[in-house]
Amino acid sequence: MRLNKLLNSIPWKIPLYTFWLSVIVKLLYSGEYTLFLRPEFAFILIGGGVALLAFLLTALLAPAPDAAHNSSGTILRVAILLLPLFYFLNTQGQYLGGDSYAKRRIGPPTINRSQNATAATPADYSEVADNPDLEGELLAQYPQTFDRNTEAITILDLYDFPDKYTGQQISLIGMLHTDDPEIAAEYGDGVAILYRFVITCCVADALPAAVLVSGQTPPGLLSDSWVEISGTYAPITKGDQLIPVIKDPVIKETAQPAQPYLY
Amino acid sequence: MSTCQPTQTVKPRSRIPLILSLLFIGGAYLLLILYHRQESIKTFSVVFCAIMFEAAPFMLLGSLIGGIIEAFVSRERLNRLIPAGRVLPIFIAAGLGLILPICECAIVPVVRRLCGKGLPPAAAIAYLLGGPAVNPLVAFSTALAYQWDWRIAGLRLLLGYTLAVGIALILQRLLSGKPVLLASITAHPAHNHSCSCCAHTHSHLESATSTSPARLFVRKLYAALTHASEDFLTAGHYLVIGAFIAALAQTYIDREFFTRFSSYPVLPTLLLIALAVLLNLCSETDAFIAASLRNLLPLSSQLAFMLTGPIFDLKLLLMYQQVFTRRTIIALALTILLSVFTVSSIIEMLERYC
Repeated sequence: MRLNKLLNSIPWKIPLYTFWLSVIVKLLYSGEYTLFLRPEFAFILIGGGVALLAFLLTALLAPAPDAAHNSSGTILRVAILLLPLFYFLNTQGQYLGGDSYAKRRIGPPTINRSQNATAATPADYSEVADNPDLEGELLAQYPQTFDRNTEAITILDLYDFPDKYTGQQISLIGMLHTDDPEIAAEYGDGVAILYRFVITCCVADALPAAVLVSGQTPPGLLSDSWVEISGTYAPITKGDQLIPVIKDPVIKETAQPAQPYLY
Repeated sequence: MSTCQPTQTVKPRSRIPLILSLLFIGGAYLLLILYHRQESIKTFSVVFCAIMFEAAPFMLLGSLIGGIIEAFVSRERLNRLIPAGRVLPIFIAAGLGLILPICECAIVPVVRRLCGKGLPPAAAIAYLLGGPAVNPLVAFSTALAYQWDWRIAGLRLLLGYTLAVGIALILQRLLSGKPVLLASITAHPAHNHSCSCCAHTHSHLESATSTSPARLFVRKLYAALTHASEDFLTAGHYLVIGAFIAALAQTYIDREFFTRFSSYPVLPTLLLIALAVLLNLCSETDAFIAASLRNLLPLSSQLAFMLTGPIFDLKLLLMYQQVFTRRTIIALALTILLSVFTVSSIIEMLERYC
């Protein structure tokens, strides 16, 4: 009974709001929130932090709790609301990797040509190649579509502009998934998958964007290691869809990029 | 459907929710302590935290709006805004999301407070189901996910609205004369009061004519924040439990499994309804998951996924306990699942035979 009385006399909301607020400040200050949410969502966290600060001030101004206000139900709710913060301690530097790729991928990588209605078609690119004047004009009008610069492109660029990089030497960073029986059955041995997760809002909705890599992988490379791959982009056409493929790849292991996800 | 029942006696509270909560919290903390080094638990931790970091600010916002309604909007003022009749408020409430877009995590505390102020339960259900499903953000994200195919976005909104109105009308008839809302929401109509956290300050606030406007505003603001804080505590713990189960599903369920039955009739729809209930995605992002299945499953099952998610999933099932009686929740869940299944099956038939 004495313990019950003691527990009920503690203003549990104050530590709850303080811990939550501290984690939000830490996430924003360190930029670590982009391991959970897309970068633009900082304002959502700021809004949540302001509300928590207001709740904390209200809790501090409130009279000392009594049994009517602080029951075992309140203590239990606070314990449940603190649970994500303890799990947060277990996430340091962690991101979605090979296990999640296996669980979240749906079929082999495919790009829908109509993914980007404003993207140019192969005919547009041929026309531009034949007429340099047109290239300058279109480059000014649609810089993203007609800029042939392949430096610092990501897997997502291949999905956004399906025909833009065909036949070009490109270099991509991602995780290399090797020894996939499904891919081996469909495309033969020696084909691996380079992938990165793309976040729409938060990690819960992350989906892998992937390309096939046709060529020898370095011996001893662990599956789902971070690599930089340079090679020729040679997609296979299947109706309105493309199977993105990098041929003759040079694969070298690389450090994990500052942002493991694409947004 | 009865609105407020001040004379309704409050039954002694069952210990089952307390025992289940204790089991959940014990299991969740044990899982972390014993298996925190395992790769899958680390991935689970990331997904669980991500859902919470995205949803909690919206829930805080919803709680704030609910608190402001409680402290600043009088019962009389709200009643003047609600049109007369049994059907018209339902049709209006289901489309309110178009002008007051609000996501499913934020809407429950708002609806709870609106019910306490006398919003008819059928209209509350229509807003609860229509608000997160029929709003401009959902239309935009669906169009974006489907490569700016506004027909899909339009169809989703139209069906979402029809379901919200239809389900509210069905429940209005089914639950006529039975308690729909929790007694704690309707027990203190004289005070417009639905919790015991501020010692009945509302009646004093609203009748405090002698207090200066600035002082009255500050007191109302304090009351709004107190209510909002209480709502966050109440709804938030359901959100944590729902997010925890969703993160388990996200970490361990193989999504490709759901595409293996694409050639069967009806089965893909049933599986995607189940997936929507398990994944607990927010209504602004579920279209991207549905669109990733567009070459593998029929449109009807993709629509079933997008129609179910915003109105019924595990976290919502838990959060509805904050507003409705158990009987209402069971009726609501069954009506939602049957309605979505029926609508999706009709679309599947049209896809196959037209």
